[in-house]
Amino acid sequence: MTTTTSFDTGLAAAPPHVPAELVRDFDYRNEPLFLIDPHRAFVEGMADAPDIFWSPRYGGHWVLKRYEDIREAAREYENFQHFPASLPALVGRPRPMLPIEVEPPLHQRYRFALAPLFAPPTIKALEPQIRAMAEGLIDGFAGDGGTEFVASYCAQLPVRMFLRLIGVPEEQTNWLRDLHGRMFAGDTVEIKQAAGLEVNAWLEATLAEKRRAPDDKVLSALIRAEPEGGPFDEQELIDLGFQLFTAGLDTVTNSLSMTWRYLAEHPEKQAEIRGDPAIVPGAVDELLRYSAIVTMTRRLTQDLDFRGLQLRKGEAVLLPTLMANQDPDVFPDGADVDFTRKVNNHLTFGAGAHRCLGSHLARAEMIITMQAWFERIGPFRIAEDAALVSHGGPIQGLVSLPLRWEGAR
Amino acid sequence: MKVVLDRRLCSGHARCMEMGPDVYGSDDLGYCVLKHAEVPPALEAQARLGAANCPEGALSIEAVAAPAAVSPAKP
Repeated sequence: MTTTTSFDTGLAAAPPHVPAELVRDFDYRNEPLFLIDPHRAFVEGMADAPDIFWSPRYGGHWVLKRYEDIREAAREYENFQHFPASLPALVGRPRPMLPIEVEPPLHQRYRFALAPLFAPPTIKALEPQIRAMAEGLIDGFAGDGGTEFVASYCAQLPVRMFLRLIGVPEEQTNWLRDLHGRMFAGDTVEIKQAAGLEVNAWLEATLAEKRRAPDDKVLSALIRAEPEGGPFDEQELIDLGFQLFTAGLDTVTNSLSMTWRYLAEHPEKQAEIRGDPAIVPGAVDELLRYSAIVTMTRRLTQDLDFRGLQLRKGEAVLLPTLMANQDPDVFPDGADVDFTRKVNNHLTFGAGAHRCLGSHLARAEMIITMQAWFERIGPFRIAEDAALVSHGGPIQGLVSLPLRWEGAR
Repeated sequence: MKVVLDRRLCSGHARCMEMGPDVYGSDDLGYCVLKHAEVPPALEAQARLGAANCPEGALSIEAVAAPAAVSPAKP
């Protein structure tokens, strides 16, 4: 087969240990509804699927739907390992990214070195910087009566903040976004492989620069770190940098686009925020729950009896966090968006040892963006002539989001 | 009231400290630290809200046996 991974249309035959009634074709990258609305693609696409089912896509894989099942698979690393972290496995990246693709106890060597750099107190101290950047970006287009929000904001603020954190000039923003796009969504295997090599070369050059001129940013901190077992070697630093690159360049970008799309389509929800800006943190978490963008993959480390089913060593299991957040046992009214929800223990940032390291940064960026936005921009909507295009995959989101509003507030 | 933290389950979501900042804090790595051995009555609502919002179920609430027989005086 010579097709590229993203457009793989081959269907695997179900192995004998998979009960026939659990076979259900679901393409988590390319179901047609993903092009229109990832939320609907999951909720409608899986509405009548069994709680655990097997899809013949990408060589065949399991899909979990329930909160408890997804949480257990996310944190029981002895049975469900993370490497390789995507389905199909990422082209051009044969080595584990650190720390996400190694498991405890080795995982702790890397995670504990990174954790203080992204812990709540560290992020709290960054809030004034995030606010200044958010206000500057929004002021740049607030008077225009509209903007293509993905390009003008979603792909700017999180990437620029990320580059600032690791100590890379913000001028590299658009080039790195392009490189990230080629690595994850390039049209051919060759493009993806070439992009992988380019990321490696960029990291080598950046690390060399940090050795020559150390700063107080994340990459220098990792070079200086003295974890148990001794300092990180060059290969470990590249594998750590690779993970930061993959996580930093499109997660908040996509979350912002999904959140603002929802708000643009629901003027009454905008009005709630305008009427009581104090609900912003709750609104952000509720839309993180409702529009969760991450579908994690785990691989079985051994044969496992799971909820009465036989899972076999090496099989892939998809964990769509959006579906966990719709589980009626945990969120009886999960189909409703409620900005005043008191209990919102959603799994958008995963669970267990691999819980999204950047979750506190992501929340801060989204909360500050929402505050700065509503201070500056009145009722907004999706441009009347716009054809929205979204995408599925491990990270779901929007390709573009043209918004309109009546002048500046 | 007492909060019981299961350190094996805490993975640093920090939802507890957002919802109950006077009951829950963060260590240098971002994992939960309990601020009180026993939760003062005025903070019980925070304690419950923080525990309920933990995605790991790492926090549970226990009643403390034989509480001091002092009800908060109402002005």
